[in-house]
Amino acid sequence: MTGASFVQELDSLRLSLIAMGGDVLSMVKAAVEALLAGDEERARAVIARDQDINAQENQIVDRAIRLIAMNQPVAGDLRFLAASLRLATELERVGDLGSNLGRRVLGLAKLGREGAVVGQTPQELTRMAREAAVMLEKAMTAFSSRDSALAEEVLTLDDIIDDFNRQIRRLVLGLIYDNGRLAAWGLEIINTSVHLERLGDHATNLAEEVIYVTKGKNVRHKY
Amino acid sequence: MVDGPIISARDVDFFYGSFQALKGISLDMRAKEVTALIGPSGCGKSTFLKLLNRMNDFVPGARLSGEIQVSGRSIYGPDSDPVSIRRLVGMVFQRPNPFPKSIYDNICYGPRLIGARKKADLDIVVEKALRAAALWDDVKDKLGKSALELSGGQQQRVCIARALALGPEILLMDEPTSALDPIATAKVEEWIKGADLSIVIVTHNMQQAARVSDHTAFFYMGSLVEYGPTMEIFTRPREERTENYITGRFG
Repeated sequence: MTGASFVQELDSLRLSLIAMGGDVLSMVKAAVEALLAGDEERARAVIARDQDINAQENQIVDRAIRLIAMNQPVAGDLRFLAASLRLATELERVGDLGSNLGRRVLGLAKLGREGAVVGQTPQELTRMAREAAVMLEKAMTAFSSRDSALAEEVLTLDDIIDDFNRQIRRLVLGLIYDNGRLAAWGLEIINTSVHLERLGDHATNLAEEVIYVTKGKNVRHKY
Repeated sequence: MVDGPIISARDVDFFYGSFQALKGISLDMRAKEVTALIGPSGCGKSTFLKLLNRMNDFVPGARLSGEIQVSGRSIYGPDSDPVSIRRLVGMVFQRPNPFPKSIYDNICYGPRLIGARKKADLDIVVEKALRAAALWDDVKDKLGKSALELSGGQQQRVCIARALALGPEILLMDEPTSALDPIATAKVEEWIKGADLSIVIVTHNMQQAARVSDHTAFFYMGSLVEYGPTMEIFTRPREERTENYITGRFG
């Protein structure tokens, strides 16, 4: 049913997923740095990388489907291939969020150039961005090292990100309430916070897939 | 029919001369379910299957210890009778082996042996058995034709019907589709999935075990390594040896 070439192709697919995860992670980290430094050039570079991530998703999904069709995998092989389809899609969405963060950087810079009233980047947003990047990195490490304990840890981090999102929303809405001219800036900040919150959700999904692959346990929709 | 397991094996050891083919097999099979026995060649799965209707009785030097019960009755006890056990536990083999007789006479063979004579009764038995084997519509107009003129898949279903004509509670199937083409295989598999009796099937085709069975038992070197719901065995087996075997990473 399965031969050495199938096992090699599974390994190669694994490496492609790890490579895609690495690309997506570096994209998100660059987006976070661009956000914290207000670096437009860097933000543009991040946005430009999204197409490559989309192409990687298509390639991984095609290979996984071909391996399923040709080899009728079972047990751990089946779980890995089923998870590959979802992992590639999750990573592609993380790439979209990296690109969205880049767009928020450009939006904030534009407001500055146009002389709009802008506030100071909330400290909470800085901390949230760093936490979200760390969470994603841990999820990817859990996948590459097949570490279900680390994946379980990732699942507990999402609450922190969600809390930050609530705090930022409350804070910025308060500022807009006091000074309506901050509204345009405030919306960019709230949207940025929402992107980071979604990033946490996708890191959670990635970690759940790691648990499914390593333990055969479906923990989705429980966190 | 009893409430407990239809087949229950307890601490079964089996020897061919000095060679121990089965080691301490304990396993309960549920009524009206399909149980698949899988494992590499020589693992003991076919030996175990044959013990369930005493087909190994004919093997010189064969020796069994432990207990096997069918419908709550010990089949190796001092009062047990192999012939009546085989009426209760039918068997279908790897290659279709219809007798060189008409389809009708193939199906009637068993019932006639135990004394059925009236044509009207036999007609009913033949139709019922052929319907149960999903073959009636194919052959109802040519019951007098030789069974050997049928296709391989139809011949195998004649053998299934022949076994069913005795009204068994359990049907043992030893690689029943390994000599059949994919279309005939699909027909036999469809029959297995819809059959209203307990079936134990030995198969080398892992996907077949996954498709047709409710429970799967994995044998290795005479031991039962793992036994559980088929869905679990094929998606998350507990034992590493099972995982290695079903994913083709053995040895």
